Amino acid sequence: MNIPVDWSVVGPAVIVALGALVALLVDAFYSRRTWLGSGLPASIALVWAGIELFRLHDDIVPFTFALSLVILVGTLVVVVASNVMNFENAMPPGEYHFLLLAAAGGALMMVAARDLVTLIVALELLSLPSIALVGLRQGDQRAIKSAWTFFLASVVSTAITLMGVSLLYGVAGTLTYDGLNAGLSSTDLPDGVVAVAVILTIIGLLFKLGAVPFHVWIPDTYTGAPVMVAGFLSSVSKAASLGAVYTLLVVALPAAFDTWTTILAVVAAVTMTVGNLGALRQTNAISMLAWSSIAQAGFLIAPVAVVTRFGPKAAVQYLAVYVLANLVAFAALAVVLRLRGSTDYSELKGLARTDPPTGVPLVMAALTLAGFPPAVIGLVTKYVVIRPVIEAGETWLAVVMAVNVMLGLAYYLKFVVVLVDRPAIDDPYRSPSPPVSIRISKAAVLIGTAGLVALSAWPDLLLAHLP
Amino acid sequence: MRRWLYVVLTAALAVAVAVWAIPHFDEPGWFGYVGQSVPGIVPPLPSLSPDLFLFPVSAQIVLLAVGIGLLVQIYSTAYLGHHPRYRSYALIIILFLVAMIAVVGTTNLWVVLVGWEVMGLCSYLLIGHEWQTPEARAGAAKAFLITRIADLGLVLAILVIGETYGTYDMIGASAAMSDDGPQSSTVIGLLVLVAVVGKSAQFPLHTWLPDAMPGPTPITALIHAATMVAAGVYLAARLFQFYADSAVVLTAMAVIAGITMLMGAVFAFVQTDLKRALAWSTVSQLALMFAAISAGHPAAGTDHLLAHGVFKALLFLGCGCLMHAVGSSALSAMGGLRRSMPATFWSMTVGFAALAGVVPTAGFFTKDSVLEALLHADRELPGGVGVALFAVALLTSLITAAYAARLWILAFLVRAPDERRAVTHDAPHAMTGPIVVLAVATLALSIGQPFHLGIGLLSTAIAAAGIAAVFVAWRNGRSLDLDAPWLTAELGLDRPYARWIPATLRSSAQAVVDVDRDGVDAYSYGSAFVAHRVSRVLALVQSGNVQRYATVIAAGVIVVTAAAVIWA
Amino acid sequence: MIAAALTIPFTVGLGLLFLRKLVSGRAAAGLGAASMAVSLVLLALVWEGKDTISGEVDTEWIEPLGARLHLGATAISWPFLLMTAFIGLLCCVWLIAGDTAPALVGLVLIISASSLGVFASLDFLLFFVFFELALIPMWFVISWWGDPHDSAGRTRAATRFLLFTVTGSALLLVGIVLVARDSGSLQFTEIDGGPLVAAVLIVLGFAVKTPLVPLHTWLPDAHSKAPTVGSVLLAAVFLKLGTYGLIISSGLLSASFADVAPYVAGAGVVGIIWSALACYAQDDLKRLIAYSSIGHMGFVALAISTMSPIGIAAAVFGSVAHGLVTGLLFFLSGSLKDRFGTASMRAIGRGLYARTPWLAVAFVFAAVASLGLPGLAGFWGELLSLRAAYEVGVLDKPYAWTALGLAVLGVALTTAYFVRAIRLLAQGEPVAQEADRDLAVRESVVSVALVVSILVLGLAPGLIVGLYDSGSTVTYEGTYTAVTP
Repeated sequence: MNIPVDWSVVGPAVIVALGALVALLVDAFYSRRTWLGSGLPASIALVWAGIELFRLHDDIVPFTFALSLVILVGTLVVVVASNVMNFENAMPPGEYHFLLLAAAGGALMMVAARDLVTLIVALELLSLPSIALVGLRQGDQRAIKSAWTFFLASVVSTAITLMGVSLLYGVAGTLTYDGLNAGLSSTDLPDGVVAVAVILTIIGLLFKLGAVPFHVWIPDTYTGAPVMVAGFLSSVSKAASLGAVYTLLVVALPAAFDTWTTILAVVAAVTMTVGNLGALRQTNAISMLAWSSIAQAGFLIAPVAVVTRFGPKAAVQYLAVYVLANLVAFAALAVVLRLRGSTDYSELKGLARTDPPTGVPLVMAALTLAGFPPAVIGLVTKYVVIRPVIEAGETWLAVVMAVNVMLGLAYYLKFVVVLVDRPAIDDPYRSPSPPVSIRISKAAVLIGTAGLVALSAWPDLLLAHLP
Repeated sequence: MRRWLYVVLTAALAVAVAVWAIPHFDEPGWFGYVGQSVPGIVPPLPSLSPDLFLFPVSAQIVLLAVGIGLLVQIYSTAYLGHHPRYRSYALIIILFLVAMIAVVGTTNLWVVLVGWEVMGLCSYLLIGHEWQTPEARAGAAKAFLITRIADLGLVLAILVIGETYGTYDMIGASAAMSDDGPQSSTVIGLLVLVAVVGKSAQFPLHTWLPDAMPGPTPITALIHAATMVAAGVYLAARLFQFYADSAVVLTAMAVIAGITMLMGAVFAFVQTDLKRALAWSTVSQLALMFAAISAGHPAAGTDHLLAHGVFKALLFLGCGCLMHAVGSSALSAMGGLRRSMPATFWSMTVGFAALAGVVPTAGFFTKDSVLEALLHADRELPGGVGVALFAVALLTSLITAAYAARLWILAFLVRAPDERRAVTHDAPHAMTGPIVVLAVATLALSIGQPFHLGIGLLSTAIAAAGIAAVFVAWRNGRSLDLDAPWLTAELGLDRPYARWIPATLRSSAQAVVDVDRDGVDAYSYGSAFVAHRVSRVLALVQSGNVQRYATVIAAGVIVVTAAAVIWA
Repeated sequence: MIAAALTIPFTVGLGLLFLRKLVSGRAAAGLGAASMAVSLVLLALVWEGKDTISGEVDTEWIEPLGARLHLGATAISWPFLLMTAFIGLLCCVWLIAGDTAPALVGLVLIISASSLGVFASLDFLLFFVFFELALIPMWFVISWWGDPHDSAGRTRAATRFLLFTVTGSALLLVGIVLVARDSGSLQFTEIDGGPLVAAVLIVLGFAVKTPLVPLHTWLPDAHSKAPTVGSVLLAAVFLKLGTYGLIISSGLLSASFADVAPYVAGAGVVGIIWSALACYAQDDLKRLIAYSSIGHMGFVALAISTMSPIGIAAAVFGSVAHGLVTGLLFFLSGSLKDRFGTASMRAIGRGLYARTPWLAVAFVFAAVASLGLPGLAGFWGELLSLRAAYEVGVLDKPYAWTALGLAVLGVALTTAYFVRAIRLLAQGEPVAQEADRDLAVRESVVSVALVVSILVLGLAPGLIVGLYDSGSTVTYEGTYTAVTP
């Protein structure tokens, strides 16, 4: 098997991987074990990888470029916002950053993969560090249980994908996307086998995306994991999976279009509905965001399921806004958790009034996710993501999406109302001067929010430039 | 004396109208085709441009309205002057007069409509003037509802006229008609008929008028005798040309008029309340006017309208004087008032004579014109109907004379009831003045009226017979109260309006509210319920039990794969 | 100028929201009234004639989607714009009181400005953004400042309102995407038809807002639980977003809208009868008025469904007149609720003519206007609707005439329930209560302004109707083209 590797193209991933090592090393030799110690090299690596990515702009497919950018920016936000865990003795910063950047490297590989072996390797590179991250907090039984759940789900999904991959290899005799495309185009293949092979391969990726019925691990994992890890899983990990699914489907499996388009459309519809329904009753912000991320996965899959000229753009644009809003929300919640010890709604009551720098971004993020003005960008990306579905003539799916917009608003609104409500009279929290590390996290939150506001005012910033 | 301010205002209005209207008396032509107005192909959008214009008849009616309005205002200063709400009362009368002018003095159908309904509103407000009493509230609501529902006929009629003739201008429409000949006449006629039947309290929409009697008596005189209810007749005559060639409409109108005039007269005869009796008498007299119109002689109808307006206003105002004296409108409370209230007595005698059709009152002449018209009714109406209508009209004349005599006797001639303690005396000058004026007018209006010898003799004989019968009965000491319970109960004709329709409305309204809450809204509550139920089920799956997750995933894989295989 | 008319109240509103601690309620309301007045004047001055788009602004916004910041006043939207600014102004005047929360004024301004944005938009996506923008502020208005005696109920009502509307608007969004796909443009000036599905979705979306039966069940709750200004804005402005949307979609999607039109007409007339009967059994005055709104909107829907020039004129007139008349009714019932703590007619008691004479007179005036007395604003909208139905338009003749008959029956029933309400409230043996107070100055100012405007529109319907000559069709090609028969 000859796997051609153009090292210049995987440059960003390599840089990120190097950054991971440096972060680990710095931490090992830097005795005070602060988050800046390993976080700084990690951030530098991410920025450098970004520069490298822009240098390679012309050599990379726009879709891959955009996703890589989303992954790098997302990871950077996670790294910066993770400062909130400074001096939290249970969390080792060196390992944290190493695992985070390793996973990011895997994510970058995943969207760049053009053959199934690379895909599987990248998938594992993303998954295993993620599992470790979830269970990283020392002595936290819940985190370990979450990691265990996540691990099991990951293993199952990888196994299923591997089964699919081997079937595909058996059918087409090759593992490169181009080869698969050619191999599957010949007509004398047994339909059923191809269908099973294709579906099994996709299922592994749908796991990562959190599509129903492969979503069951998400609520437990997100609520058990450190908040920023959950943020990472819900954003970077999803971005990578989405990119991988799309590339796989469009580059390698277009011949099996009939097999996967309807399935994926149905999966998208069910996913968004189940996710929204699951979120309806949540009274903890993290659980709510966990379920909402399932629902959002449905919105992400929809434009991919129907292949049209708008599809990839729509998915990436929607993803970018989703990632930004979600990370803002998770980062703000991480701050809240650190300061107040809980993210239950009862704890968040009136946050936008008592602590505007975290409360207002949460409001903005929730409205963006709901797709509701004043977060115009959320609404515009809803439009963007419905457009390819309509273009493909799948009006029913568009209507399901519309109903889900309503369902989503039901719980996002509840969340927003909690945030802007009049606060409880004796609010225990009054922090005159939070430590620097928390200020850094808050800065990340505010910058992200500023991004959302700017995008709402000029949606063109994103829509005209992303892929 | 602030209350004279409103009299002055009304007088100013009356003078202005007189200056405007009197020169139009002598113009030739009735509601004929006058002037030139070019209708469009499609009717224009509605506007309320005043388009003032008076025909001779309109001039007379508008003058009648403001004249009686002025007299009523004067009368009210004494009758109602100390009422705490005198101001609103007097102002609404002025608004009413303006509305009446709008109905009569314009050629723009929309202005007519506005005036028409504002009159209805004023009638509603004034009947309900004593709104703390349940009778006034109920009567007001009933009057407003029935007339307004009927008014919808006029709205639709105007729409049809506009669509048919391409204009909402009456003159323009008649110009268009004279080119192509009338069209849609049956539809227009029936719709107009609905409107005027409601406004003029004709069968079967007649029950509101007797119930409107809790209103102040001057208002009854002005609105519910002389002007507003008569405006139905005016409008039917005014729009006559638009349905003149429709036998259906004329026959329907004739039948309604026949039923109503007889019914009104009979009911008037059996009443024990003077005011209510006069109300039924109004219903009956209005029917007589409609009969003339249906016989193809709208002019006879409007002539009788004028005369009736004067003498019925006289009678109601006189009734007000009696009520002022004895404190009740029940006939049993009256009697023996001839000597103590001479001015009222003599004036009302003239009024009753006009009602009964006694020479030489105006009522005699105009009623004869109507009868004369009915005699030749078979030219317009299908044979039998015309003859029957004439016969009914004669019978009605007989009963009318009889009940006029009965009321007159019971009010003035019979012995005063024993329980009356206070010494009665005539009303203040502000009240007797107007009725004397009206009595003079009742006599004066007979000057120059057409006279038909044969009919005149016949009707005089009939009137004499009616009056004589009552007199003989009274002289013989027999009671003048007819013992016919089903007649005093007015044949139960009010039952649909008083009971059935409100009951249906209430129960269906309650049903709608229930269905709206429990039926229509079910989809929203249902979906919310389902959503929460599903949400709970999803939460159950999320037990933290890894085996259960594996099961779900395995099932998912199987289902998705199977679906793929089946679809592929 | 249009941009300024939107921006000024919007900015002031945002400012009041964030600086709510720094201003008194009275000052906030005064400031709000001033900004709405400026907006009203600007909107009045912007008019350039019915044949063009007045004050057109057209700049880039979202290039890849073809969405533009495209604003302007057309013959259709101008009356809506003026009415909205006027009602917004009166709401602010109403709030000039000691116990007003500055944030409420801010929300009122934002809602008014967003609604102005809807009416001024000439781009479908921009329209939609404004359409949604007003919803969440309205949720807060209802849920936080609503019925002080029922805090759970007002939140439930607010959420129901929001979820119903959002369901509708999400469908609308799908419809917009469909239209944009077929026409390749989001500009009202360029959209040329759309598929039937789009028409169905768009009409559904607006039908929730209008509301048409059976999508109306959110309305009585929301209107009755909202604070006075909230009810007024809901009835006078929000429902108009629905009717305005139906009017423009009938113009934009003419071919496919014609297929949906019979259903719109049917829902409209059923709504007229249904709501009238429901009104007849109400005890709560605000619920009664809320249901009566459904009936009035039924007339508007019937008019729109004929898709004739008369129908458009009827719909615009009916919408504006309803805004003024029902606005007045809600202001006055709000006055009653402020005084008596409830809008239950039984609890308020009879004989208001004697207890609070001017309030009672104003209420009776508003009721009479609402039941469609000729010569007042409420009449012409209904009349033109009837005429539009009589002329049939795109409907079948038997169908249209049946609808006409039912609508006429509805007028009769409307009279019945308003007469009942007058009888229960204004008339009757007065039993004085402690809370009897006649209109305060601010209430009088608002009432007089509305009474005068109702009279003016009633006596000079040409002010609005004149924008639409008969024998012309209303399109978005410069909004207005005359057709020679």
